[in-house]
Amino acid sequence: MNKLNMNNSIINDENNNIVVSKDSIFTIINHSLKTLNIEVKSNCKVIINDFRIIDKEETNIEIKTNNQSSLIYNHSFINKNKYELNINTTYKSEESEIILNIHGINDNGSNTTSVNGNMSDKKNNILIENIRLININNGKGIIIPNILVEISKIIASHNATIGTVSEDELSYLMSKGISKSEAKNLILTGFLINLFKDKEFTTKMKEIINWR
Amino acid sequence: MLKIDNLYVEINNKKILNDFNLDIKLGEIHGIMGPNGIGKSTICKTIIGDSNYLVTKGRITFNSKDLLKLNITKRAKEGIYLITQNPIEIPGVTNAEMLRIALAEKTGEVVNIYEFNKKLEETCDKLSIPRSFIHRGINEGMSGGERKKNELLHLWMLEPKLIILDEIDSGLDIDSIKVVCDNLKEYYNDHKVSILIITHGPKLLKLLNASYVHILNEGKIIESGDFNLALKVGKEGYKKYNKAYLVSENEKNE
Repeated sequence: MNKLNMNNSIINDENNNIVVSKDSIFTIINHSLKTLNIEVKSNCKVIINDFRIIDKEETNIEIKTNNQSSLIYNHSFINKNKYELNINTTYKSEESEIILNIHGINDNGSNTTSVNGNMSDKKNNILIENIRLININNGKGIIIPNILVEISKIIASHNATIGTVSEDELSYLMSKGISKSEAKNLILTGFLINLFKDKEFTTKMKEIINWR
Repeated sequence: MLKIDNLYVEINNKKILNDFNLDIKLGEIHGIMGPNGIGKSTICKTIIGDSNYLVTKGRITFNSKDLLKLNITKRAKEGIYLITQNPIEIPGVTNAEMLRIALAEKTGEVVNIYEFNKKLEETCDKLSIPRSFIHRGINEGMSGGERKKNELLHLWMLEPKLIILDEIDSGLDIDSIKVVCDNLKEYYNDHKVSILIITHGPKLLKLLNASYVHILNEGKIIESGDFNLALKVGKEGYKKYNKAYLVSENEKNE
């Protein structure tokens, strides 16, 4: 059974069908997440912080927003084997925003991150996709950042990058007297935690992450 | 302290330094001047051990150790420290984390967190930067002036013996340059180190009281002198030295 920690209370719903009607922060830390259907009611703000170390998983997320609502999905992961992430967004009304920040490390694993942002009929909505993958140890990644726009008066942007550990960052840390392997670990951990502002959350992440 | 003999360096098969020589003794402050694109930054990168710069001939010794046999990490542990004109940012890696690991690797001992934090806070106060810098990502979201001060925070914590300043006055206003230089002078007086300054003009050399000034041209030092040489170049420019200003017939057609 999947666990979502919402405002410090555990919600257990086999299908993870959630309708949120008050400002909420969800935290998911190293729990399996196969399905999440979330609808954010009007005038509501939701932040989902999701960090997972994945062996083999397919995650399907459906996001629906209503008038003047906001959903920010911050997700970082270390993929050790195979990970498929599919996110679909739907705007049920106007003047809402969906921000998707995804930082993933494919550590000898293969990953497909697919986002389908549908902005076909409702005006004044915002969709921002920021997806960055780093491949290490022969890891592979594919990003499919689809945005379907059929009307004007919306804001939609995507930023998708796939790369490896920056040589400039490695050289910089090594020039401070840090070994190459330790410098690499620092950069990768920083890349994963940088999405999250919640210090308690990032502290837990650091306890879980182990590059050795 | 630092001795460079007959050094030849290339990057991507392009020769940058040719028969470059330099001798910096303990406590000396040297300046290397030259126009853009002449190879000044190559000197810095080669000394710290950037693997993109290929040394094809020559020798660099630091306190009698053969630097060319050491990688970038080991050279830093020997006490060589570079501040560039635009230090990069590393999001998510805090100053405290980086410095704690660097000190642990340098000393081979577990860092005493109480003393470490105390020194970090004192150094922030000395540099007039907020203590919140300690737990900020390295240079993350910082202005040019803040980045230089952040690098000085690292400097005071890591206590290097040779400081290389690569055009650090670029992008700094007059007040910020003075703050940075005053702090560098304080470190110099406290620690009795050597400084190598790479710059376009005499301003930084004056603020840091450089005693030795060298002019770089075609990959080698072609003239050396005291601070008066910097003043002369500041007044007359580099045209006298630099053939790069004279475009050949072949280059015109490129």
